[in-house]
Amino acid sequence: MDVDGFEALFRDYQSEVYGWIMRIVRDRTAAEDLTVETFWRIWKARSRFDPKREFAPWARRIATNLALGHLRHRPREIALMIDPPAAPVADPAVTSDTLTKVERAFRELPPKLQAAATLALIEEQEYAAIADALGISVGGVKSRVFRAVRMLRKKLERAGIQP
Amino acid sequence: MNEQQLLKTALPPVKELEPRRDLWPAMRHKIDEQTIRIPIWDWALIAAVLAWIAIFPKSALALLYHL
Repeated sequence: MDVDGFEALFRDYQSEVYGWIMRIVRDRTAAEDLTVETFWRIWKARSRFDPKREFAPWARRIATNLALGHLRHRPREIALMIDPPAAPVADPAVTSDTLTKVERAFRELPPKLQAAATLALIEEQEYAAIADALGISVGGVKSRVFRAVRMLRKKLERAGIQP
Repeated sequence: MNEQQLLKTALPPVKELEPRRDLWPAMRHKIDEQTIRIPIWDWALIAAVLAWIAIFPKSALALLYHL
């Protein structure tokens, strides 16, 4: 594949890859950097790509690995600072302090659990697509989501919050 | 409110799913950089070969023979 062909591919898929990464890292600057890095790895590995296979799932898997690496190395304080403010609270029993504690507890989960729970519970992506991107089975995704919820519940209970 | 609802309130689904700018120029720059860049070891090897030829000019013929 030459540079012109790669540019066409990049333009076709940059939004899709960016959107997927953004859902996991929730940081625009990081998502842009990671999108370029994803395509950079694709460019370097272009000779190994089988044209008979779909491009998007392959790109999503590379993007997911990079996003997980980003979550592993991002300090939690920065994660809290760059996240968008929480939506207005409809339930009067849920205070902004509660939401901050929920967010903090969620950010303390291991990145693999955090990514699976973000994509499944917050972004409501299909389990099959998440499984493909994480390189595990659908059962594996369900297991990670279950563990994430269980860990989150324990952390919230310790913080005095009863979901 | 269950955990999922609580999570979605604390961390609402991402709406900004399009990049703010065209990312191709950054990508192109990265590709061009790789094409131009010569690793430091290659420079060291070139310098070593040139030095060798400067000290032992006749060895250039042997080197050319091996190329």
